[in-house]
Amino acid sequence: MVAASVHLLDAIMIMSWWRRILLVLIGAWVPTAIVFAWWTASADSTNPYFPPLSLIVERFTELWFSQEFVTTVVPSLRNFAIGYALACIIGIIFGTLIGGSRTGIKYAEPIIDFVRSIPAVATVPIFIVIFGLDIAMRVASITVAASMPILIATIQGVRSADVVQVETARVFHLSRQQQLWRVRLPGAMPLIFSGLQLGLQIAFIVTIASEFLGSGFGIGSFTLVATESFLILDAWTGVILMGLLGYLINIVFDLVERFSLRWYYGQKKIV
Amino acid sequence: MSTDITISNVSMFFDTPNGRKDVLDNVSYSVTPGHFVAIVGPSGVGKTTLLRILTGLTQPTGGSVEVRGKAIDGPPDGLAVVLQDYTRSLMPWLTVEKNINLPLRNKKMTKSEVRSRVAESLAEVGLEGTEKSYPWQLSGGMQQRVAIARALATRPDLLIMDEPFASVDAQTRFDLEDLVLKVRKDFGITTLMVTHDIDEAVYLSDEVVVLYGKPAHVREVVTVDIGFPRSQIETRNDPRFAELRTHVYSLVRGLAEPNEAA
Amino acid sequence: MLSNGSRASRVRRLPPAAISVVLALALWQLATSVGPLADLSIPSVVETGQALIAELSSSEFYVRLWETIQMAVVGFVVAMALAIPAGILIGLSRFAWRSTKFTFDFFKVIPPIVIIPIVILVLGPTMQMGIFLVVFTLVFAMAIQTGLGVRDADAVLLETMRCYGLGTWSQIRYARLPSAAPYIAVGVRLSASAALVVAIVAGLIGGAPGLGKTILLAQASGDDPRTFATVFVLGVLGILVSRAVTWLQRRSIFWMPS
Repeated sequence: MVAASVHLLDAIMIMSWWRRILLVLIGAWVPTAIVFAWWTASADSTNPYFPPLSLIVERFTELWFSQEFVTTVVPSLRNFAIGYALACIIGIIFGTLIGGSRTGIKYAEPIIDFVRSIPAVATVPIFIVIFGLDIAMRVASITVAASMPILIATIQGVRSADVVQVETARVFHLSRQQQLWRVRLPGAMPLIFSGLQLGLQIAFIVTIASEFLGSGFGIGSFTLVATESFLILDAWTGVILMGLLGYLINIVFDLVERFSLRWYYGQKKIV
Repeated sequence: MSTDITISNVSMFFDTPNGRKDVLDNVSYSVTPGHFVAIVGPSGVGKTTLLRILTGLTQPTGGSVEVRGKAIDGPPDGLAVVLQDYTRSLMPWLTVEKNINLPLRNKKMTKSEVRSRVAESLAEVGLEGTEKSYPWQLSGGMQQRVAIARALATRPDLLIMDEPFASVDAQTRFDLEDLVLKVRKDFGITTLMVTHDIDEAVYLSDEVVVLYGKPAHVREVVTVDIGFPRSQIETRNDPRFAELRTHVYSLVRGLAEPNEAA
Repeated sequence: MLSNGSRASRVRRLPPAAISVVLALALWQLATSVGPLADLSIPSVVETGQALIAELSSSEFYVRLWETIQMAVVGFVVAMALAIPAGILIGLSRFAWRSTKFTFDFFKVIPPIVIIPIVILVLGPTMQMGIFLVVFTLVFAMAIQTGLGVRDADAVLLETMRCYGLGTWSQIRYARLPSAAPYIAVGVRLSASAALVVAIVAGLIGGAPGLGKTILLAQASGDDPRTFATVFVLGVLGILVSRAVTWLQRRSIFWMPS
């Protein structure tokens, strides 16, 4: 009986492995077909805007597997990382303080509502006026734009904390500050993470936008200059690299979220 | 390790869009230190409202609650609670161990004291070795044991429970009831429990307080004159148990006492 | 009666909001006229206000506004017309869903701003470019959203229908589409706000016509008060659009629980 059930379990495991492989295959055929179609259709292309994919790939490896990556892409990623990290800290701390105070929200709401309604990219010119074309401008615009969704999600999360949890904490004589930081804030984390994800995407967009608008260094600037100088291949490699970076950053975020919120997903799976 | 609690003329009403709604009307009752008291009544009668007033989470609109002779205006010292909704009262992002030591933060205890207190409390409820688990990895009954362990870890002298076993299956419920009897024997904490299960009320209590009416008042305080220790099989077979549960049942159902029926 | 109540509470809520707005403006004015930022060429409230009045009283502003709105609306309509039927179709077939999932997710996640250099090359700084960007931004996310809705149909309901011998079409009509409707509604609301943002970005970065370009030109010519004033207008516009869409939705989808 025990042996039989073990065999059954093995069978299910094997099946789920097969299933997983099958799912990957099903998910992969469309992108493969797209790349293949692009490759063949562009092979003999004479259209200057759509060079053969083979040439783009060649140029891509030439450019981005070299020192060029360090001089062009790393500064962009550094600005992105600093700006986003600041946005997370500011958004969560201020969001918790505002959300934890009944009057705070009344005063902060109209300002937050207004700032978040400005398209993130459109704030970049404001920061150019204030900071010039400096790194400070880039980091500041990334931080402000990305902190908005984080701030809002944190305020909402802290305010909509579970009543039973908060009252339990109250009965056990946790102070108001402890209730806020030890019960309301962790309970708000699932919501905060959705704000963090939106903030991440905005941070990436503003990173690129700040480079498009404030010419100088960085991958965005590189790509735009290539476009303006009709270095079509370089422009394509820049676009593809930015797209891949944007995708990768999201994947990394998903992994971090899965790890940080394992209590949340674990609980959800059971319920 | 027990304290007295006195409810004097507690009244409660809520302002609703449809006007004032009276829930409690002059509820008075005094709990003997160390006793286990169950509060029963028809659904919606205001049991939970009364309990919230006793925990200090809600202020009554009239009357007062005194603990150790002092009127309360917030959760009193030495109070611990166990709520019906264990999935919500335990913090899902904390392990069992951290859930239990959350209320201990403000007590001046060293790390090793805290650790041994957590281990002791878990042993009392029969959950040794679950320190590192998350609450949601445990069954409903086990989660409620964790909630009881958390309450015990604070060394309370007053324990308040709101339908603590309402969301677990019948078998687990009997086990948890016996756990509560054991805790009572070991610690003698003054305990108030709201329940809608009349058998449970009679089985666990020294006294059963029956709330009835709209707004609710204390209809009768029934003394459970069955000795300890009690057991699921013998106590529930006791003719006195049957009498008492029938009496409480008819009070809750409004099939009143002969002398009140008129 | 109800609306009276909510208006009364809105009036009561006004003071703190008004106080903080006045406070913010005063702080800005102080900082830029006598405060730490006075040495920099940052426009003050008064300068920005003057630029704002000049902007709002020029007919050019409304031409630019109209261009932005056109790009947003056309792009939005095209994206919805493509994405909703596509989302329903791929949501109905498990194979189609799994086949396209990765690809759609990929394009959904890629920020549209990265393709602007190529789009500028091919389409130039035109309205078509703006429209294309709007469509590209909205279409994948909306298709996924619709597909999720179709797939979220209650399994018990579907099985019940199958037991009663109802065919595929009835299942689509009475289970799949109603389940997708709230998803689509949410997607439409988010898309409408996003369409406006992308239309502005297309002008600001790609030089497409509209208010984005107004900012680009003002900034390039060093007309800082005008830059500030236009960005201010965009903030107000953003608030108006999100309020309008929420209001419309509350009117039209009365059966949807909040």
